Amino acid sequence: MSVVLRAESLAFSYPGRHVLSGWSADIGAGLTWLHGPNGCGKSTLLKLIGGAIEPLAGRCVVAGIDRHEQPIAYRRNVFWCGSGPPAFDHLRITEYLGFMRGLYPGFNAAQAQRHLQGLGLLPFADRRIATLSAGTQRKAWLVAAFAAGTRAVLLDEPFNALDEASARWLRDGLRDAAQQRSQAWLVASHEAIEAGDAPVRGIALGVPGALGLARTETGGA
Amino acid sequence: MTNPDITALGYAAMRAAWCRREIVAFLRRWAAYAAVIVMLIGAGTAGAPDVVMGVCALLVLPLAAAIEHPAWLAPALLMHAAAGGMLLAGARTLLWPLAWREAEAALPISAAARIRSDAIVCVAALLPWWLPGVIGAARIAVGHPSSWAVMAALLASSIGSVAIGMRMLAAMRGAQLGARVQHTRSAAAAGGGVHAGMLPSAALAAAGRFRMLCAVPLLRGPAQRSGRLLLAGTLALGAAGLWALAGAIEPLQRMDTTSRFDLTGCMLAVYSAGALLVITRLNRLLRDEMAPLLDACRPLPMSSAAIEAAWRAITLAPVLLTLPMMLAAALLHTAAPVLRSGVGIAWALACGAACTAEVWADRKDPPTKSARWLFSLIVMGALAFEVAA
Repeated sequence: MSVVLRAESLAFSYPGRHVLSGWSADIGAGLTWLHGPNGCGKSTLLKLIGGAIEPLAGRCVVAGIDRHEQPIAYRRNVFWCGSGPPAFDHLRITEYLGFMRGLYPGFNAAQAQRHLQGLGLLPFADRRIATLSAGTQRKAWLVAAFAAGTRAVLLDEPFNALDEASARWLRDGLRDAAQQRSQAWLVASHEAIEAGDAPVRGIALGVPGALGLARTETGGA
Repeated sequence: MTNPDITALGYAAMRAAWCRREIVAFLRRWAAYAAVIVMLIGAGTAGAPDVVMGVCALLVLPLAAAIEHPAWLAPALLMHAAAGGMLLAGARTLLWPLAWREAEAALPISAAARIRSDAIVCVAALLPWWLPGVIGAARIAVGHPSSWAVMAALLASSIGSVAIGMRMLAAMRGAQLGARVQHTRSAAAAGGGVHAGMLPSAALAAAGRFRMLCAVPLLRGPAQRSGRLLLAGTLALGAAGLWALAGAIEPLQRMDTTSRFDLTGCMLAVYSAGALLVITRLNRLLRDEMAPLLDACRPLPMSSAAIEAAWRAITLAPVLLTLPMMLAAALLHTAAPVLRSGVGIAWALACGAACTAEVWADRKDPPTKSARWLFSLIVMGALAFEVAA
């Protein structure tokens, strides 16, 4: 397995609650399923790796780029898609994707067009994100994730609020992601991630409140 | 269906789009109230243009007054900049919503791009404050030799306001509340240390209890938010006091359009209400932020009552610093003849007593608090409008 994303000794706490303590993992190209019970720190872990929040300790490296040494280069190589609606919801979907295009050098506009169509977003492309339904808002963020062209893509509960057709499109997209040789996809979900014949690695986070709770499984989930 | 065009959009353009939309919505929501206030302030004057010009002139009155009395210039600039900074603080969610924090932190946006766009939105948000100020400076400057000096002072204070706004946005963006609070509480729970770089008792004795338990937590310890509020509150109250005094001296009498308006009374009333607000908020924030520190100090050989008393004195600092300054300035300055010193002292005592009561009062008794607030505001407001002769 070629390691794309490396997390070393990550630690993080919210007020009154330790979430992660000394968490380490090597994540290779293809698809990795992050799972565990509610409150075990899946979303927090993705935020830490994605650069959305600062760890108390530890380091993250993607494609040899250390987050603390080269914060901008690191973020150009990692895309984080949270579990709620996207920020910057005053923009139209096309403007939002344009904003992402300006930030990520590897952004693939053709891929964005393809996923806009696949997720049924074309009729809403010129509407402000804030005026759209929760599921439609999330689809805009997912399109950006698929088109960003980063070395690591982090998806937090990507099936939240999606209709059946969009969920099917997303499963197909993840199946393609599982075949990737240079891109690592880390997906936190309560729903089992399947990718047909392609391998899906699994990382299980432990019980809520536990310290040092990393456990890594390798192989099909 | 044709494929939509995905044109790259810069960070500054994205921020500008947000601010434009929010500021327009804000002005739409409040324009009617502003118009009513302007009409009330100018009731009885010659006409609408005079009213507007007069209100504009009030915005730069302290600067115009300070230019004629150079010793006041630096404090006036500082206070005027703080007033603009307070406006930006009030409009902070229009400039950069907190909901963006995590999403934006995860994006590859350079520090230079952030600073540039912060400056742009701060300047844009200050335009409704700055443009009337320019008109006001022109109004005051009619037949006045120092017109350019007033403009230059306004420009300098605006630059200061933008700097305050940019610092505030950087602080909002950088705040990692979860981590910091947890760090502080863990240290407090341990009982040995209080915060990185602070205590134990030997260090306390050497460095001075006040500095270690009062100044350091406000500057670089767990109570930095209180420290910022303390500074901003003191500057804002100082600015209100300065406005009140400026209303009693020369430039106001030169301005026919506003001479009927009791600026001193209004600003003293604003000071009174502002002091109560600042002290109440600061009291709560400081107690919350210092609570872990107090817990950690209990095993140490020192009186926790003395520490709490010191913190209460700090809470009252915005009033303790600005009230004597105002009284001294009024007594020393040419404004004294047009002010009733006895009523002024009574107002200052009422203001000080109301704030002190707020700091020592029981926090868990809202009905009493409402009654105390109402009574204090009525007394202070009534006295404030009697100060100007």
